[in-house]
Amino acid sequence: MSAPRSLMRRLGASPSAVAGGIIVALHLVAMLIAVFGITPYPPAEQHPESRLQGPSGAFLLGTDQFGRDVLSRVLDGVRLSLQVSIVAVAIAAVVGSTVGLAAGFFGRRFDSVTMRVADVFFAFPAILLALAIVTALGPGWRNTAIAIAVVYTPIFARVARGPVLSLRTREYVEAAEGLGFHPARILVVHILPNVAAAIIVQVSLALSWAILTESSLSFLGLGAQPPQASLGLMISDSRVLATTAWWNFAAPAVVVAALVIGFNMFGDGLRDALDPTRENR
Amino acid sequence: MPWRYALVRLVASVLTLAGVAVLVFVVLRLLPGDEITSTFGTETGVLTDRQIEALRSYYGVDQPAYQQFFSWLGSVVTGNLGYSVRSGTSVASQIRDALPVTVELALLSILVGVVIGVPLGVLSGARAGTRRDATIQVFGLLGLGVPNFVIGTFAVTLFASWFDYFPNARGYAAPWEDPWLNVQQMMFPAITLGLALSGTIMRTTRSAFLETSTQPFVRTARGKGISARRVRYVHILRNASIPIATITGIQFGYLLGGTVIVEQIFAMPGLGRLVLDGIGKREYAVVQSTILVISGLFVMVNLLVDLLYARLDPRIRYK
Repeated sequence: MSAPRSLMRRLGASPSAVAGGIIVALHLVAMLIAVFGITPYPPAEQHPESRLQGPSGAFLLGTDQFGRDVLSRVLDGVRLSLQVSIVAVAIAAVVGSTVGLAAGFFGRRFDSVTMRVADVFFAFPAILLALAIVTALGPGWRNTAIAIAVVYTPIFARVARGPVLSLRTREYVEAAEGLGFHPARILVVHILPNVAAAIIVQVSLALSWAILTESSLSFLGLGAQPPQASLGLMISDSRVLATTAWWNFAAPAVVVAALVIGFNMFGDGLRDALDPTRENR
Repeated sequence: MPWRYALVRLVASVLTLAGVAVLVFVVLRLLPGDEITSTFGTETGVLTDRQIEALRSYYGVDQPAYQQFFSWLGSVVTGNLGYSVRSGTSVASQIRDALPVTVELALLSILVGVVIGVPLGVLSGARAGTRRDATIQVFGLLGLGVPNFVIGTFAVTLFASWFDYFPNARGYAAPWEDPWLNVQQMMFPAITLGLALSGTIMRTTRSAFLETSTQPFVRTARGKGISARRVRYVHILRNASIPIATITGIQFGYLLGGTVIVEQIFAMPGLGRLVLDGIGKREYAVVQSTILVISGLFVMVNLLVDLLYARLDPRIRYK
């Protein structure tokens, strides 16, 4: 049986993967709606005559203090969160995995130096490091993505390195070495496929943390800047409104929690599906 | 040889902290502006070149970066962390005032997390696959996924606006000054952080519980006719305690990060607040030393957790 099909079946059998996958898919649709600019209203458009209105036919999730449509802003906020997180995790996964593979494969001094450097990064609470970096670089979505990428690169390095240590002593790898293959070829052809599962799982979990970090930084005023719609910023702004206009708090809060949980569940399900030796219960 | 192991880990921790110091220093040097522009703001433009020169040498920012780094590192070792340009108070005294707030908050959050997470984990692990298990697992996911700033904002709004109750507005009260007010001020921040932690602890407890309950000694205990409750809490939970302690230690770092956000929401004068204020005001001296202290706490707790393994589990032997 083909590996992808069996993987799909295993994923389908995991309630966690199915639920997480549906949540993630819904948010990807939301992202596309914002990317193609087909939100009900432009996210920054103000309707002064209808400020702080509750959910209605015209404004499905109500309006904020400037009369901006909350639904459109939430959709655009999802786009921003996903955009930052996907860029950040892509950078972290590529750079981190490459370094981790090389460290595990070549060992010796390169390995010990990179792992000591990783230790330094692990000595920071993640959000604090991201906060320091984003402060140094200045606000904006690119810098937020860079900060998150820097924080998660060492995690990918460690995830990729672990399995390489045991793989490189396997007979088939030694055989490939004996045949005189170039180390890069051995890494990519013989080792990477066996590490890929761990990296893919980590990507899903890292996306969950990245969204958490992005929205936290925005909440603290260090991420996206107004008038850009961002989930963290919307929740922060809603603090003064929450009693009178609760939808300004509820809408972004539910969405950001759903995104974090969705990626987390999907990652959990993926891990169980990719690792047949691991039983869920 | 546990002592040898402890020594090796201690040296490694000190080296890690030295790395942290370098990293913090380098990152903060990338910041635009310096002490002078942050003190004088737009009025910096009025200063003559000679005045700027004099100020730069007064603050020591005219020295090469490596010299600034070593003079800062030297002062960290001697405990003289310099002075905040804004308030004129010493950085050491600011950190001394803020440290107990954050430590108390972190400890209480761990307490909340353990008190909620461990029993829930046992309850769900003992009946794996049932509706009760599923319900508790959903709670765990919510704890894991709902960001602490969402819970915090909700709590502040609910209590401050609806019930007109906001104990943190009255200025921080140390537990030895006004214990009752202190409890009121700490309660909601600790619950905010502890809820997220309880999700992780619950999940770890559940899986550790399930793993332990398949062990032969559990079957033996059941076979001897020991009550299910006693087997659950004495035999299984005790042996499942190592992963639970580990995850709690690991989560301490998350908690220290979380305090930055929660202290901001609840207006608590802790280390996180100090960092954020310092960042806003571009006070290098405050920010770099406070981040170093937070990372130091984190590294120290990880070291302690590592060393505690041996106590919790005599099976672990160090090379």
